[in-house]
Amino acid sequence: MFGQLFHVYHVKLHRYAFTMLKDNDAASDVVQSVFIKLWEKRDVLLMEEAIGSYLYKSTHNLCLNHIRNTKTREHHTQYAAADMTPVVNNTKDKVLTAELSGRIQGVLESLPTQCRIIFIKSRMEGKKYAEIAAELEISVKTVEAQIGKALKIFREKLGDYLVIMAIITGIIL
Amino acid sequence: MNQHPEIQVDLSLIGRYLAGEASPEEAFAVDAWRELSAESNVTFETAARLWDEAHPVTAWRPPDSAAEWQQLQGHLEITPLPIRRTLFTPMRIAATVLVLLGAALLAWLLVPHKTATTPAYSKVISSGKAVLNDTLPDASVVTLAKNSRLSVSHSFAASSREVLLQGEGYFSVKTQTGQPFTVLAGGVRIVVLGTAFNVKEDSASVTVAVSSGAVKMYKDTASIIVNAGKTGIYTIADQKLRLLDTVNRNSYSYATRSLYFYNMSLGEVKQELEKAYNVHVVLENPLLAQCRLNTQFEEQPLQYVLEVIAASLGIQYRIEQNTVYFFGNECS
Repeated sequence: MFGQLFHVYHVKLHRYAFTMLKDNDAASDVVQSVFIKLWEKRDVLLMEEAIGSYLYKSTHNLCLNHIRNTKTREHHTQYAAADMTPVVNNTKDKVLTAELSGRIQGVLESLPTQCRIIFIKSRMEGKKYAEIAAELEISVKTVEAQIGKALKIFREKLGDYLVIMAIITGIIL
Repeated sequence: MNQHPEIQVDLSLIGRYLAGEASPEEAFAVDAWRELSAESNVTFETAARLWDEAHPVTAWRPPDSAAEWQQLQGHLEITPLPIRRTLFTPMRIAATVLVLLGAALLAWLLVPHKTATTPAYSKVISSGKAVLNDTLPDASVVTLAKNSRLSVSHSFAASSREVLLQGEGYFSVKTQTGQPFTVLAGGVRIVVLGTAFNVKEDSASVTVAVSSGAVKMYKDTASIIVNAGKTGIYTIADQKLRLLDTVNRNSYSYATRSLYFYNMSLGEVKQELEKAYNVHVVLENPLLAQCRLNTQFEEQPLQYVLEVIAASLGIQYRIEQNTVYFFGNECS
């Protein structure tokens, strides 16, 4: 049972933790802690129907603690470039990745101005929606809508291409 | 599965998720939504892929779950699941040899023995005893199942993209405007624009399982369109094309190395494991066949898959040569 929970949720929780921490290793540490806590409370928790909700909440809380304790966000935005080069497995992937970056750059430049600025602040600068809203004097809802719009435009312009890329590099399926 | 049906998953929410703004309830809803259909998962994965590639310095990398599980076990102070390695007694060896001989005979009887090659094809790829990956001149990728062959036409890529398949193959086709990709299998013509799908051809039928995009199947003048998540079948006996509303994602696990066991009995799981990992699986207690599993695996080594299955069902396993034995008490 515990093994199955680990198996079902490990990758999902890691991905969720990563979105908050922007650091793969820190996300691994957090998820390890989530499961250690789960193990300690297994008698009570394994009975619960809503174990999934518990695991996501636990991950969220531990990520917030992690951010508070180490100020990960600033640290990693600052030093990211040095130690977080993405792992590229082989030449095929490298060629595909280079081609994809070029296409993404092209679409990014064609985005409407506000949409582009907001996407860059969120994705490249790692800023929270609230920070972006304050800087641009707009509402958080607007930031959210603009990011959704950016993703939609990217999907329209790169849709099939992204799907195929994802399949070739084995992300989907 | 979805504990929060009131949460609507759309690109704005996927954006919030990727940007690290999602509440735990929203993250849970996103993950549950991804499992609803192949299309929703593709929508998420393409957005995530874009998000990662737009700034690769902070890109998510899938964790090594097998290694993390090992590490976790150290913290939990539980005894690792026993993998009992039994000495090979003469009886066991005899039994294994018999099983292998039986399997070889069956395989020989079942595999169609076709040797004809058409002179119009210049390059022939044969998989023989192992699954084989090959990249075609147009950068499309094909994974051939065992005992299958693919013939590539002389003029491939120059004028048209056409291949002849005997046996079974999984194709990831690169999009080329105005240059459809065609697979000929068992007299059926499968035309695609850019997609991933599996084709299986044997003496009774031609089966096309589409995992993304869409393909068109032609037999003489009849044709059907097969979209993602559907299966097209041509039955040789009645010469008809039919459309099934589902796709068995395990049917091409030899290519994708992904296994989906949703509400599946161990008896069925056994068959999928045998095909995906090329092993024999024996249930020492026949009642184990009724145990049910709910899980999925992405490119995991056999040992990890076995550990999770055994741990989930509270049973044990051991590996001897190329055979996996599950043993223990039946599930309640």
